[in-house]
Amino acid sequence: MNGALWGFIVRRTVFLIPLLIGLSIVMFTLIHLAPGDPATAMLSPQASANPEYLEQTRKNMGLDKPLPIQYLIWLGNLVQGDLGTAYSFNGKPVLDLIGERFWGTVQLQGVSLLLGILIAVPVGIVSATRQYSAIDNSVTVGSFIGLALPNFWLALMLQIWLGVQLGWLPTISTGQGSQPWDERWKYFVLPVLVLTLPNIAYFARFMRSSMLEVINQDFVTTARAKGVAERGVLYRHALRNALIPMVTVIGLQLPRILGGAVIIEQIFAWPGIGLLAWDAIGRRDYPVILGVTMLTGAAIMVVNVLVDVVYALVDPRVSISDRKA
Amino acid sequence: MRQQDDPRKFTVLSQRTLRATASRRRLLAGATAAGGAAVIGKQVFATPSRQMAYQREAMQEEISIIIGTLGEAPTINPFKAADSEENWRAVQIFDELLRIDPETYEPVPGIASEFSLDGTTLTLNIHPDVQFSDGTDLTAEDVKFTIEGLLAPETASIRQNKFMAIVGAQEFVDGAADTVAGITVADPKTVVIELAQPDAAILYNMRYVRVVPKAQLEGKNLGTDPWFQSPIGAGPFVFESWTTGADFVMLRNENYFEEGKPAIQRVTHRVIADAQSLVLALINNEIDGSNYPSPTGKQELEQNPELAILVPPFNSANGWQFNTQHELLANRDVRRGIAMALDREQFAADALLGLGEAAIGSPIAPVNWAFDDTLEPLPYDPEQARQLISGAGAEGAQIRFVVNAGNIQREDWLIYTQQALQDVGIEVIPETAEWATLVSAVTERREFEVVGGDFAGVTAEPTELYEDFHTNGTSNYSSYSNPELDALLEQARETVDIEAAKPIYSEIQKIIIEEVPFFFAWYRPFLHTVNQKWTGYTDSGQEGLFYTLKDWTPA
Repeated sequence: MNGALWGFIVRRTVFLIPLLIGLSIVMFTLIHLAPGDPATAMLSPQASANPEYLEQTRKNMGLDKPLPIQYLIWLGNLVQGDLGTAYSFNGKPVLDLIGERFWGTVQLQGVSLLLGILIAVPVGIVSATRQYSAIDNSVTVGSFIGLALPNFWLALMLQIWLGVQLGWLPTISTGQGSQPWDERWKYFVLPVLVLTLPNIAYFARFMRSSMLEVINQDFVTTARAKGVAERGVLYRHALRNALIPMVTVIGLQLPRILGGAVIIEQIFAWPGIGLLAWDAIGRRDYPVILGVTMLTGAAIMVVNVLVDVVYALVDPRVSISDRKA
Repeated sequence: MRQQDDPRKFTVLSQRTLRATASRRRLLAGATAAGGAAVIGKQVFATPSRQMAYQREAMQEEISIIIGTLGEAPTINPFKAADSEENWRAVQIFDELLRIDPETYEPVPGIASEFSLDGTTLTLNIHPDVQFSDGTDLTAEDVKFTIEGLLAPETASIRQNKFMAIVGAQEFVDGAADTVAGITVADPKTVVIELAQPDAAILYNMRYVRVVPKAQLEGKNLGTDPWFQSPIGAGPFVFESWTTGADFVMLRNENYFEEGKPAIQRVTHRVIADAQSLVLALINNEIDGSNYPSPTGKQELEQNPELAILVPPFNSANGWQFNTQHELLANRDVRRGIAMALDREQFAADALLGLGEAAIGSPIAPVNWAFDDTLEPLPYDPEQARQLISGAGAEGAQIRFVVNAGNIQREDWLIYTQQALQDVGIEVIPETAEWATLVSAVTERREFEVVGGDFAGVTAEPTELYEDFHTNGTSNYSSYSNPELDALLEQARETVDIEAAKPIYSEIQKIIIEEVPFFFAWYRPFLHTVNQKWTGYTDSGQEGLFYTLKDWTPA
């Protein structure tokens, strides 16, 4: 790794700080602009909201102070690594709440992303090298079906078929933590399946087009002209170049690992980060909303930097020095 | 329980509910109805005998129950508990000073095993064996401390106003006194409460006294203290753990004062946020019961013969609440015209799955002693409705009607209302709002014209109508003011004797039916479901199935 690259990493990382502050200001303003607040969201339908109750509840939450002061207090705590405590969710610290959900989301999303890539890359290659063949056409049709199927519908159908009718798998996933692994894997099958299918479809399409683009370039023709065997042409010359754009595509999907998938988490009762954010928004639990959005926001930014760095490493044509301007 | 033999239980669900309105739940319901039959063919559901390891084993060493819930309680602090899940958890952990009978809603002994209300003097005798789960005695001092905690402004309890009739409560709230003069500790197990004026609801409200240990909480803010994250109470179960979004676990309180109870050793309250998944988990025996299976899932649930499917008694009715500050809705004729243009019977038959019913306009639930079933509803009469509306100069008016998004029946009610009012000359502007947004708009800013939520009406304690419809009521979101009704509500609130209160409530109901500050039009159906391997339960409209979990045993 050369000096220019290190300089690039440092510059990009430093630039993240104002970006994160900007994000936090936007988020802070947005959630306070949303109608309703935690005090009213806590009311049950028939509880009478006398003004003193609301006033005192807000005071207990520190919401009686002017907005800029609230923001500065929050930011001050954040700098010290304290994301505050939730108003609801049993009043737990936001970091603990995120920690509670973090591994669930990472396991689920990580496994389906990895499986998606492992299956999609060979499928995409086969599809590209046999363009317009029966295999290619079925992959194309299959990809479109995979992308078009509403995942909540697919989830429901699989629950009924594999869970209720055949009785092979549990329909919901809460409670898996207390199971031994020889039982526990069963709780992963349905949600992973539902999340992996669109991943395969998405990545396979990209892999196919990326591979096609490379195959038709001159250097591949040159390789063939030199008499390199077709396998060598494909895997030594074409594939390595075709994978470069995949780095971006995969990189863009990485934040999803942290962000979670609200609908799938809800259907399979798989409490993750997505469901946490969803519940927090419904309850106007400001510290939790901010904590989760800052975490996912930071993740997206860091991943973007990493993607650029990996890009520079795998593709010598990308020049870091250009970015100084 | 009383509904178990109800013939409605076997009514076929209405197909009209699959009407194409875009909503995810509706798509789900449709997908199950259509896809379920197509994909699965003849043998629709596996017999429950096909047990797997993840399914509940019948012969477990530990007596353990898993209860499914759609929404999760935000807190278990008994001073802050507001919604039904919070209240249920708080009751299981802390118990209640007086409980209510889940079927008749009458006050019955709880932690206080004897009580007497003599005019304005309430004497409560704490059961001699009551201890907190850590083995310390629960005394009259703890009871006094708890009531003062409910009154203390910094707690910000939504139930503060329920204890303001106690002598000295106002001075305590204002900070002029350190203690509430009207609460006396007569001896370690006896509390005497003096009231400033007769209060018909005081016995009922003693259920909100969920006693906490003074020794552990003195000097702390009971609204916010972290002690409540893993609290200690005197209830039948003890807090064990809480993974938010997933499982809330309680264990049997070995020190519980009721001999030999509870039988259940471990209670898991599991969040399944998706309504369809909740139904599937019940069918698959992955959970033991729930108060929240959607009524649309009734036919599916019946596939599992192990399940008892109960239709609980109705709570207070749904309908339209009018903002009487609105220039047209201030006119009684316009409100009556709207009510008379809506065919409650037709709507109930079309949209309530054969489980709900039309209501007569009373704000009180039918099972309540104060409900008067001899009252006549406003007739469905579109012709007269049109005359009333044009007579009031409201013809062609645009009025905003709002319901909370995601409540299928209220959304249907909105659509039905829009169609029906078009025929009598009112243009409904239909709106849906997310819950927190709606609560804020209605309760705090009163920025609404007509709302279909349950912001008024009572199921268990009729004195609460005072807050809903009295000119000075704290939850009078209609801003309704009627001196005659005010006088009746005041009188009812101070009439402790039920027989004497009944005719007063008759008059109150009559005025609300005729004046329509709120058009109480239909009863929303619920289903309660439990696996029949359990017995000893009592179903309740307001309290749900699991209120008396301490009495349950394996069948």
